[in-house]
Amino acid sequence: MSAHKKKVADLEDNQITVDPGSIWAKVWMVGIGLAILGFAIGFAGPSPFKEDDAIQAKLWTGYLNGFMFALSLGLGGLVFVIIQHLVRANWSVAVRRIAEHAMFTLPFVALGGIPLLLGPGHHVFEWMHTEHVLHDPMIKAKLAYLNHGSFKARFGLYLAIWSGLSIAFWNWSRKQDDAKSTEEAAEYAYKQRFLAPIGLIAFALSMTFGAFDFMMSLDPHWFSTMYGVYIFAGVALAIHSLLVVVIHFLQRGGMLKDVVTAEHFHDLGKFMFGFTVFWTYIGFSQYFLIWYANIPEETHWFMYRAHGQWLNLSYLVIFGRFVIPFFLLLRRGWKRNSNYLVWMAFWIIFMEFIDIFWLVQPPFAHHAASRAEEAGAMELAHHFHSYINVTAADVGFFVAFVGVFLTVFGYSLKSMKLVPIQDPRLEESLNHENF
Amino acid sequence: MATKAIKERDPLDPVRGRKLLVEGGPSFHEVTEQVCVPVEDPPLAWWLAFIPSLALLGVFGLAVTWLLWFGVGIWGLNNPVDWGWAIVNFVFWVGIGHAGTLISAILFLFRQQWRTAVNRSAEAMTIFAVICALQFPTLHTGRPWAIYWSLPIPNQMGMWPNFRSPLLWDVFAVATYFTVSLLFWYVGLIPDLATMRDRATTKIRRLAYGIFALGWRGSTRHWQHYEKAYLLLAGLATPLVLSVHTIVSFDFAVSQLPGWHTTIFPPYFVAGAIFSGFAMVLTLLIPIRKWYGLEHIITIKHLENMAKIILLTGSLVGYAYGMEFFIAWYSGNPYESFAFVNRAFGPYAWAYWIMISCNVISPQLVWFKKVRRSPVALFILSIFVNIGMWFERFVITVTSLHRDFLPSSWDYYQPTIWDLAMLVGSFGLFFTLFCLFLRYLPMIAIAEVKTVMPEADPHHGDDH
Repeated sequence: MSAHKKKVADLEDNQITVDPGSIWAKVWMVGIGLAILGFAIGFAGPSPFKEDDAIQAKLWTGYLNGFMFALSLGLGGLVFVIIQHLVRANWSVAVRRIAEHAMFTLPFVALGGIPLLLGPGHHVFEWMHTEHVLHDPMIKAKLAYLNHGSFKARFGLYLAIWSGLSIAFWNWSRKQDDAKSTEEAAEYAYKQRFLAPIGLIAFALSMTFGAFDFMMSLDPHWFSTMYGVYIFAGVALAIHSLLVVVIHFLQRGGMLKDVVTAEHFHDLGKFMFGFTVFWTYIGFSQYFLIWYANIPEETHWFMYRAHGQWLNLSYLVIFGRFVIPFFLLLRRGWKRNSNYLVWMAFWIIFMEFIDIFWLVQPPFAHHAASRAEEAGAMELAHHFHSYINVTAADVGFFVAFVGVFLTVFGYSLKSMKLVPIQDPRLEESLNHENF
Repeated sequence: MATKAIKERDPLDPVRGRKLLVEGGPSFHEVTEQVCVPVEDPPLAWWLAFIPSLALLGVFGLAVTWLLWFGVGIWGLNNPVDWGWAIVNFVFWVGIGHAGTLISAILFLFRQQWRTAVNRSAEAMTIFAVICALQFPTLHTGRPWAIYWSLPIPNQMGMWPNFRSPLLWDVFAVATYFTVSLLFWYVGLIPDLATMRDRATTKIRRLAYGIFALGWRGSTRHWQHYEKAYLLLAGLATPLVLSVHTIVSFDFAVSQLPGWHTTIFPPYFVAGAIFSGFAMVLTLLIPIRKWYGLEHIITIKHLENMAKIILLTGSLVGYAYGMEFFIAWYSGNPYESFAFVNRAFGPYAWAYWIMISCNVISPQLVWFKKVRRSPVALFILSIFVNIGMWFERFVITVTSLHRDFLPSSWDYYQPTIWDLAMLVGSFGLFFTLFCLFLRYLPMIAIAEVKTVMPEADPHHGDDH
């Protein structure tokens, strides 16, 4: 568009560093505040239930919900960074740093999984009740996988993979900023490039099995080979949207001006649109194949999402994840205008939380209903079948994990430049144009 | 490590900027010449490829004649394996087609400029592969003259296709795919057809190319419309890359049969299709670029990029195999686990392990730069992948059927010579069509390749 090519050397300091007077320099403090507040509400907030079992189960379901949501943002950051290095992308260099901050939250947020490995885990994971499992031949058959010891071992592996990759990419990118020569900067580019393909494989496997462990196993009878791909689709949607939100507000604060342009927003918007369709494709295929074959072992998972308010929630997932973003991201102009795009981005991130809610909360209600039925409390069972209970725990842990995320994200944000200033492809990215 | 100068470290994959796609700095005119001359005056190699292809097409003709005379009883089908090589070959050929659409549509949307050197021939391959694929469902009906019954045409018999059957969706999906691919290919051809028309030395050639060039004169307005149409077609063709093989996977996955019914089938089939398609592109282009002297347009870098896509999709297919196996066990369903153990260790274990070694293990060689930059190695690899992907469909179809829920009906399926003749013959059809394409149409999108040459950049020769 402009006749003159933008040069990296011409970038002004206020374009590429966090303004110390702006709220962005204090995001980490906001994060700490939210985390403290959130955990306090989550653990100490009131619960509508009387039975201790139900209180605890609901509390830890809310915990898992918030944890999975924050984790998905970090995983998104990691896979975004990996893919950009893997395919040698140049368009994305100007926005990649923000994804690196999100990626850096991963080792810290992932620690949130530890309580679920220990005592409280049995409130949400039915398979942790060994004596009960032994009477259930279908769960007994998976005992070699679904047991405390191997769950812990696998979690250790995920933690190692996620932390190892995130810290390696983050560190190299940070060191590249301080490189003394273009040779040295190129060296760091090569290192990241080298790790990317290996990282992608490690990411794919750890994310898939992590999703099996923390979410699919909530209903230990149910299984789907597509599950990992479904989770990936949500993760990819979330990160592209997160980049739009953060960059839009950084620009409102006067940063990244002329660095990230309508061209980059356009591309991010295209990916939001593309992954919206991809999510729909995966979600539909999973549902459709199970619906068509109509095998009870598989359909029951959808059945208890098709009652009362849970059905409304299912509709929200369909409309909120597909219909609305599909039509509102179609037009070219809407993707290029960040004032508009940011609303879609917010919506998609919100729907990522709702999707995880839809995955995580119904098994709680399903189990609570069966327990109530066993105890003869038919009215309570009906309540769980038909009504969604949003409790203080759900809200609290959502706030808490967003807080943990923001703490690390904000710390990383203020400690580095806003773009990888010595990346060999930055100049191409600054001058990026869609045809 | 750091001592080695960065610039020299990997000229094919520089850390800054991009390698030039067309090597040797030819002018626009030279590119036109290099692509058009072999069409106007085919090299000897063309005849060496065409004659055996035609002979194989004869085998196909013979097999089809025999089939129509005697019926599908000449095939090796039995009970319980009543779906044999016809469906295997159908899925194999439809899959091959996918690389063409991925290159022409998806890589276009992803701004992958290297696609310009390979898209024309890959799209041609798509169309011919779909033609080959369509032979099998048509012929396996036993009465191919009644194939139009599969279309919802009002008729006096009161017959109506079953809209709940994925086999019918196949008819719609493949027909749409074929139509859009053909249109996309043709739209891309128009400027080059005009070039061929303008170069024609005989009246007949000028007339023939002229009719199909639709009066293209290369004015700015023409180009503007052309580019818009191309972008729209790319957008429309993109979902088709996914939908066709998704529907094909539904043929299996909507059933309740262990080994067929699994939710990952749609994306797994799509990845496999792209995998096999790219292998076929390599199989075709590696010899052709040499025979036609086009090694500076379809460069090592192009081959390397395609090899990387093969590695990616091959690994995705490996991921799907792994998931299927894991979930078969995790499901706790004994029939499900039996189907998979039987695949790997039952009577068809040989087929299963051919599939695994060709599809999952052999592409891992692409991790080595030496392999992915060697045309010979890639050619051999592409043959392995073609074999492996045919066997994948064989394994899915036959192993899931041959041992059904009633052990007394278990049987071992063996193809007959006529099954083999149909498969081999379909390659004859494919290669014959491809040779005819090489004979009459420019195999490289001349106009598109020129747009990725440095002279086409508006900043060319400009130091701002």
